[in-house]
Amino acid sequence: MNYVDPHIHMVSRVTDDYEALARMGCVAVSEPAFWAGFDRRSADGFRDYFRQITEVEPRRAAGYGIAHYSWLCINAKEAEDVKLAREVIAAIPEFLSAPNVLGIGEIGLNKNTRNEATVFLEQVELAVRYDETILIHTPHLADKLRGTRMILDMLADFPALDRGRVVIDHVEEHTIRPALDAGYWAGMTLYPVTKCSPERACDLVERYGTERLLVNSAGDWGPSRPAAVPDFIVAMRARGHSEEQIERVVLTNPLELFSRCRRYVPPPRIANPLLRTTS
Amino acid sequence: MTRVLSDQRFLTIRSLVVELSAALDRVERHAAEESVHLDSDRRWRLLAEAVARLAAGPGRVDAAQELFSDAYDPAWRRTGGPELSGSPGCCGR
Repeated sequence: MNYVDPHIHMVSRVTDDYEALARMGCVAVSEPAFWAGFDRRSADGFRDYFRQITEVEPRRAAGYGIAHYSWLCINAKEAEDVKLAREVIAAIPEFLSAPNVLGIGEIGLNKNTRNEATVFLEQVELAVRYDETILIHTPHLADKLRGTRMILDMLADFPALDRGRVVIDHVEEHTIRPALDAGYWAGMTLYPVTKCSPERACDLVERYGTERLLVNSAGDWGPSRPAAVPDFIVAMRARGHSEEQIERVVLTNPLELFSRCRRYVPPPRIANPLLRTTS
Repeated sequence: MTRVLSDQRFLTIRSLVVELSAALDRVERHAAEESVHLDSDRRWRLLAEAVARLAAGPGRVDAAQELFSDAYDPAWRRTGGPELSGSPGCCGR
């Protein structure tokens, strides 16, 4: 089955992973800007990173027939340094015209601090000003519920924001409903220990339906599985869900979200019927 | 198709229960060997409460997620949370 991984950090993965993803049916990935495992010391460090995810990774992915999209921002963890964050935010428009950029992300909260909230709001304002779609990271573990609710509170201050162009990512059982009820997309991240498992993601599809739901691997430099989305496909099939229902979550939904970005060009394997597979 | 309680699903859940039981026994055994009082550890108390809730019926996973979560105060921007106290007007619009 063709599928999309709408959240994966390929800068942290080896080229063999691209090959494995291609073998499993991956037609596109999207890569939000994130914390690289260490704090960068200057806005120029971010400029180099933005070049990597707007120029280098698309070339690497194309070698395996995979379309590569990206999102730009300063992540919540490094947003604690507000001065640096503002320098990075000022640099982001330099890259917004890159053809693979889908929007602003993954902005959000990490430890639910004042500085994180300040930088989050300034990046939402940036997205609104440039008419960009938004991908939002929600915190980990005990911070998730409070942080998610805080994010939704802050977004409510932007009544003109098109909720259908915003993803609340890393939802779990206790945060999915408020995200969907408010009209946002909800992303389920399949991780080995934290966040969701493939089985729990299936549970959430059974409880909430397929509309505006996404699944992703958030594969990065830590414990994570680039093959997590195919794991979800297998788990859904084992429960007897239809191919159409599965494809809705792993292919149709992410591409529908991406299409709400004004620069969006469909993945070659979707745009060209000769390249499509049906198995 | 493995809906309801198939053999495959039974074995999976059985394995999870056995692993959970072994993990809790392991922690208690090591704590005893090192004279650590687990009851004074909030994390252990949370685990114990979560396990106790397993017998409560449907809604277990939502209850567990809530249990392991920090409280949300809808008035956080006005009252401030642990990290936000003393910052009136922060994030305010």
